[in-house]
Amino acid sequence: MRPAKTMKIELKVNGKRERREVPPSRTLLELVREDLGLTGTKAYCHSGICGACTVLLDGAAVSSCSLLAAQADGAEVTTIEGLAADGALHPIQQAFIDHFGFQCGYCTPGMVLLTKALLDEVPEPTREDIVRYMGGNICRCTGYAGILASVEAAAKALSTKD
Amino acid sequence: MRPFEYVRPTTVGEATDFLREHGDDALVVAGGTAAVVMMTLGVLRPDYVVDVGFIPELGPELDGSRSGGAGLRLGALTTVRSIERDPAIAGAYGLLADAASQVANVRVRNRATVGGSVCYGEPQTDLPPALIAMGASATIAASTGVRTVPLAGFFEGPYETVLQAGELLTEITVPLPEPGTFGCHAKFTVGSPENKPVANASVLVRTDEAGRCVEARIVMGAVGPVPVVAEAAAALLAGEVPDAKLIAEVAARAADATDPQDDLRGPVWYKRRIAAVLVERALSCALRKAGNGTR
Repeated sequence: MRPAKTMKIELKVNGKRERREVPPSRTLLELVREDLGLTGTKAYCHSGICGACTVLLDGAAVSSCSLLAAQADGAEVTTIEGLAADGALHPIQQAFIDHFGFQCGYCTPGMVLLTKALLDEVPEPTREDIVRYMGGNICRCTGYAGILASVEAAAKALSTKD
Repeated sequence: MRPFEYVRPTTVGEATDFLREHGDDALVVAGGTAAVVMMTLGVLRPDYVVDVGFIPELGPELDGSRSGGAGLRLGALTTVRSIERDPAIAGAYGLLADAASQVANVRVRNRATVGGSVCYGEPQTDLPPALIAMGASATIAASTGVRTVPLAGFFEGPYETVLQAGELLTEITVPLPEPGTFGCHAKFTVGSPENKPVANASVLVRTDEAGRCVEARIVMGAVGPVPVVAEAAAALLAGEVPDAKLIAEVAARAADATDPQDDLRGPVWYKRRIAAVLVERALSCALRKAGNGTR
């Protein structure tokens, strides 16, 4: 077992297999934004607090800033670019538009992906479930009312769709 | 982030062999929620990162076999989120689930591990007080052998633990509580909930059929260099059916045992006051559960 100065990693990003050789200090956030050009994932606090860099790692919401790309080797990553299918917005994205779930938009990719993780886990969340879960991602524009309404609408849209 | 070399052991033996050679210059990374952030900030600048996240022995998943009658065994890679959600923990080990559910945010809980939260030694973390209250121990491996340390004696100061260079925490074991044991965790933060708390408190109580307290443990975090075990305060409950007056007395005595510091989360007097309030809340919550017989 030799220490490595670069790492060959392979992961699936939005369904597409990606092979890259990266320095081990590369974070998943840097890999996604800079190496793969998926700039929908936003960088802000770099400390796991704000949630702007949220991606789904094997379905679970994580902060891509607090994870080395090498730690995600072999995993499936979903970024905001992976939600819309065939040019049609995902029902969660549509709900955020319909219910004014964003203003400046910087937190929105993270909010939408966190909503996806919540609704995959709890398809019919209570208001309290939503507040507890979404409370971890920070929005400094909306006052959260529009976001909560968007999540509730998305839950309804997805449950009637199934 | 300062460049480093990366190793990815797949067995505990490989990890401890590497740490025997390079332990002083290496940082063990599990979930990464603290370690990667501290490297990004430049606070930690290791020559080597040992990624233990690919070691199956460290048990990333909980399963039924781990929580037999003898107690709960948590592989070091058990996530905070799975402690929060695992049905095997929600019952007898409800205090752990309660504390886990209050850690940072769901993104952090999805990645942060029980091993990492303990080894980091951060005084403000939620799990250590709950684990100490439940009498948990750490299993520590080195290339020379394995030792077990009660968590009550594991922490030596802020970010300082008994772990030596060359050692790796592999498992946390929690003894099965006696029937009738109930616990609650309470914390208070100023500002956003993911900020470090002013204080937190884990309380575990066992009552008899008459509602008398047979056993009680009170452990507080963020109000001293290591988790504060309030033995004298807990002893006030022995043999008593606690009323509001006694609960307030216990809380005040517990706050006396704290040793907080002035910082941006408040001055000493304020942290003591908050610690008392949190002990009161957690104790009342635990007694309520004991009265209802629900964990």
